[in-house]
Amino acid sequence: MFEAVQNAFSGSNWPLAIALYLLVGLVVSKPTGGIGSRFMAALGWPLELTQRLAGATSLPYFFLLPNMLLFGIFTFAPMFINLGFSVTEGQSIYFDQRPYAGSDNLQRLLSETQIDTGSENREDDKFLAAVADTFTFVVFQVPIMILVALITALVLNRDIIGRGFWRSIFFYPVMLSPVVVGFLWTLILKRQGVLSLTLIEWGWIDEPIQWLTDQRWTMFWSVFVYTWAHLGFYMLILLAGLQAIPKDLYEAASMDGTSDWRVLRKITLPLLMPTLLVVTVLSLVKAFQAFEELYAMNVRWISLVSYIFETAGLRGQPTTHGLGVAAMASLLVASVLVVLSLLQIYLTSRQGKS
Amino acid sequence: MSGVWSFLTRTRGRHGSLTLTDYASYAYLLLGFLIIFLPVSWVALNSIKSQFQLEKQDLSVLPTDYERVGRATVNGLEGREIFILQDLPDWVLNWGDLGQEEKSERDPEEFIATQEGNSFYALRSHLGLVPKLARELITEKALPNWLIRYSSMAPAGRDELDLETVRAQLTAEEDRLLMEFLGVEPFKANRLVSQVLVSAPDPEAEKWCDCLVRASQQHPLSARLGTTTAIH
Repeated sequence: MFEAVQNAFSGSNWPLAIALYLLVGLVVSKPTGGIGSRFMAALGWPLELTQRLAGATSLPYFFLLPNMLLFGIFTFAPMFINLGFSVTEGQSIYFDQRPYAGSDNLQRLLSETQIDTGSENREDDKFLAAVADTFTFVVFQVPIMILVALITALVLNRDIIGRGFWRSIFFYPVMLSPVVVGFLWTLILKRQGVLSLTLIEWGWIDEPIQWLTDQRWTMFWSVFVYTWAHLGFYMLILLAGLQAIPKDLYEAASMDGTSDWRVLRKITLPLLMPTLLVVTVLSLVKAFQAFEELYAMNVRWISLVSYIFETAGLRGQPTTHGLGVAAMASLLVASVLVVLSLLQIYLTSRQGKS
Repeated sequence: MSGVWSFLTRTRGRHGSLTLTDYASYAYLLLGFLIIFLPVSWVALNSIKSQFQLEKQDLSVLPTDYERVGRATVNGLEGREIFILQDLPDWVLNWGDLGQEEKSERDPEEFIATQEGNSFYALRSHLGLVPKLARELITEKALPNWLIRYSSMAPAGRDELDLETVRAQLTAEEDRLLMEFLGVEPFKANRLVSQVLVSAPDPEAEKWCDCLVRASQQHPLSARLGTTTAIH
């Protein structure tokens, strides 16, 4: 191994470079004390110098810099690029080929007349339909899922046989990829799928139903599959919340001969409220962002994220101003999500104070 | 009676016997188990079902297979004969669907050597050996080259050629091979189709009998309505 290191450095004057580095250290840090501490001070002179220049209080920020740089590149840069797309127009993704357009994209998205052609605007109908459908989805999906997750958590928190087994059963859909979930339910819900064929076999329906594209059923199955796939995650959070409730409260209640129903209403639910709040806001945000499963299942309605994905034209057919319009739409959705997140922070902090 | 009931519902290490809430809990868990676990296990088991079972849109959870037989149609000097070939290996039944690689792993000539009579002719056609063997015969016996083009010729062109002289040099078996290759009456192409053996009520005799269903039926329900041939 030593030979390999030697070979790697052979031909370069690395001993000289290290000697020079240490010499600079000796000059800059002017070390005192024993040989060991002098050597360490000479070795660490860049940090000593930085601390002397920046002061001890701002040194931590210096250590944070590499992380913040990476974080900035991959998190904040896309946000600013998106902001840039929303106020410029054209098909290109390069900013030097995208002229500034001000609020034109907002008008293209929401106004009644198309500002480029003067004819009737279709984009606003599509966008508002996506908003309305997503709203319907959220209104049904979130309460249903929280209710089912709560019931499941309550049942799994009881003293039942095979608790670990039942918990893993309810949790494992979370581990499946959303595309796998979409594929799996498409096999069951398509026209010649298992559900239609089974119901025909039983004589419940006369002809196959396209559960995913039938206007009357598409929303029901979207809510069902989405709840199926995400239930386990929220159930787990609620289960943790339930286990954090002190046992002595239940013991006191049982000594008083309190009924199960009253224990649930007066002890369990009030003490579970903070967890329920977190679950509500998290699932609200997640439901607004619903996309993968619905896209993989090819449901009849278009969710907000699907609308953005399709309008952007990054896959399939690009349209003249699609990228800018999609960026503007995503900003509107993001603002709703920001409001929801702020609501969560406000409610949690208020609860913490009370 | 209540003694038996309390004996059956009592629990060890848990307080007292099972209550109504316990029953409701287990019922709920079982329902959740069915809704969550069945779809995934169905898909997982689909991955080990045969292609045939998948194409039939089979609803069964467990992978199974039907008893499949070959229904052969052979055209010969005695006219057309239709008969059932049982116990054929899967690779023979599905020969047309095999890829080049799978085909090259098998030896159809060795397989048909074990057959005789009309089964031999049916399988020789089914396994695509007629053109190969006929070409070998033409080369071996130094027969005229126009035989290879014969089947694609116009009737007027065929009339100018002397097929009878060629046939006179051959044995009966060789003649039959060549005639099958050329598609000369009565030796039209022989066929063998894979069919499923099912038990169904005979509409006339009103008793159960073994019936054949076309293996290519797309729908398990229409399979019953499809043309079936009763075998006895």
